[in-house]
Amino acid sequence: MDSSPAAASPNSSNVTSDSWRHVADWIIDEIPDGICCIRRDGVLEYANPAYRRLPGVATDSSIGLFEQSFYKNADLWNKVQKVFEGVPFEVEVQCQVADHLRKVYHVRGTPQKPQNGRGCERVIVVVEEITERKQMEEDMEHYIKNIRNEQIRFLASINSLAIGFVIIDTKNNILIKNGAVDTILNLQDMEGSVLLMGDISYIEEKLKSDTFDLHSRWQEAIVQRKVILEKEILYGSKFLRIFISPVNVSDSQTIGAVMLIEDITEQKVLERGKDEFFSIASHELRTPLTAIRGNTSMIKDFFAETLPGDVREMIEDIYVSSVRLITIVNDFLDVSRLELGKIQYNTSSFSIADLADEVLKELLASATEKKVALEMENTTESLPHVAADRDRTKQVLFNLIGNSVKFTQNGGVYLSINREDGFLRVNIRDTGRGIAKANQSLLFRKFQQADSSLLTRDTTKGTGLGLYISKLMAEGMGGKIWLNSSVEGVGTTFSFTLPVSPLAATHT
Amino acid sequence: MGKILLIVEDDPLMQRMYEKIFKFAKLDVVTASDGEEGLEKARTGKPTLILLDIMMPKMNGLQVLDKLKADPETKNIPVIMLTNLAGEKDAETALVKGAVKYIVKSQHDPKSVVDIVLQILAAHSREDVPGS
Repeated sequence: MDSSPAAASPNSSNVTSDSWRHVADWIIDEIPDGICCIRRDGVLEYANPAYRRLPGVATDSSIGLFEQSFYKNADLWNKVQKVFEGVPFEVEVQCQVADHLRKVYHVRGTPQKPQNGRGCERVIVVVEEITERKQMEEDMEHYIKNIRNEQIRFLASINSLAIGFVIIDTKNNILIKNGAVDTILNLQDMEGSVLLMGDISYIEEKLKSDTFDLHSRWQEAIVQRKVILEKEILYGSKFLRIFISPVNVSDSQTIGAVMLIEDITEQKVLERGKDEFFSIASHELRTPLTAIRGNTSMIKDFFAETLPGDVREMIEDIYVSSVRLITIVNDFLDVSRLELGKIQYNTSSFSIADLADEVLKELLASATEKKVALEMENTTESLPHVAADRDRTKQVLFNLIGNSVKFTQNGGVYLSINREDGFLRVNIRDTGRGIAKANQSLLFRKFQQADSSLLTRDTTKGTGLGLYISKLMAEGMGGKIWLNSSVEGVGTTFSFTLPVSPLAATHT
Repeated sequence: MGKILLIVEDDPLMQRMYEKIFKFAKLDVVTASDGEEGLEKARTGKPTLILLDIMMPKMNGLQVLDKLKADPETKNIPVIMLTNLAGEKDAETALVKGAVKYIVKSQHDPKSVVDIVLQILAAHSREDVPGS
């Protein structure tokens, strides 16, 4: 390149006619990057159209304007000076071109080939706008940072879990696993390399037992897309609960499964303690109560005549108290065992009509004493047997009919049984005092007595556990129990259902 | 009639109570205070019927029941389990092992226990009659 005066004027028409020069000019004119040439004395010797379009660039060739406008954004001018000493620069410049418009440029200054070894005469500055690229880079960086943060948060959360967490893909590989897995399965002693990730089979091996095969279970979760819960697996001296859920990314695609492993040993120990507590409590509480009940009952039976009236009454009160206490202890024990799911239902096929007859006979004395009728209605229909626990069903009948007798002063208590698709429905209707609307919703809850607050409780009417126990039992046997209707002053009807026995022997 | 009841019961409160009611009912009663003693008295005394508690020291009632039913000398003596344990599982186990009845003590007045015993004795002697 020469430094002829011809080049001094930008866009000069006085160009060489050499065809390559035309081409070069044309390229420089068309190039999107701004290119200029600055002389040592500060004069802008040449600037291409792209350069002139830069924000804040003056149309004349006075360099001062650059400093004030475009160049003022950075220490560019000093850098340009340095280029004359032979030190090129490359820098990114941000430029606020309007209130909300910021552009970013990549600016490069290179010296013209030095002459006479004393620096150069001209500096070529190339300005490339990189706003978009910069934005993209920033977006990407931001995005990656976000992902990384998410990942850190995610890993930190699953690592802080006390529950073992594993994600498996469809090909046996562990994708993510937290530390709790190792702790729960006692894997810390194994080779570190095995532990990292890799194959799920070493965990499968560890967990394999006669009753549990993890491999087939998680395969099942993925293939059949279903959630699997193993409530209790014995693992060495530990009890584990395992939950497996497929990871579905769309309606048709399952990419793996999540497995949660929970150590429930402590829970089991506590539960066992509770069990023991209940059976000991029941035994220890009932024995002295039985002695009180038994001895007072014998005094009543064999020595009543020898006692003064007051003492007889006192003995009677002690007897009634002991019976009431035994009932309370039994109710509490029933509730505890029902809530713990510890009651086993010995399902058999039996006639509920016969059972109801039995209960009616047993309650007849107390009903007759109150002059309340106690009757079975419509037994003409031939009814199938039910499949339920006979003793528990009797308890439910006893509770419901007993309640009705208790709260009825005039009229009677009437029982009816009818079929209702797949179930037998028992209705207990009374002409008692009825239950206020406001109290109806509380009926089947623990310790609730209709129409009573804590202080107005009628403690002679029991613990308020009867309906709650009946509900747990009826539901435990596959039936339902509910308040059919109740009108104050008119009466109440309770109903419950039990499934018809598959043996379907009809009651005649 | 020479009917002797054996009551195997470790709790003196219960033992005395049942002893009394059976005496009131004019039945002869022999008592034992633990499982081993109970088994011993069942073998030597040849009681007509045994009332057997479950929770007892030395040998529990279910173990005693097993031994009684395994011994040809005692296996035909009817056994009524008398307990205050809550679990119906024990009741079932006892019946499977050969007990004729399972009575939860707190659910019965002594007199009704006597009634049950008399019923079983009556049924048992009816069964015995043709054989003897």
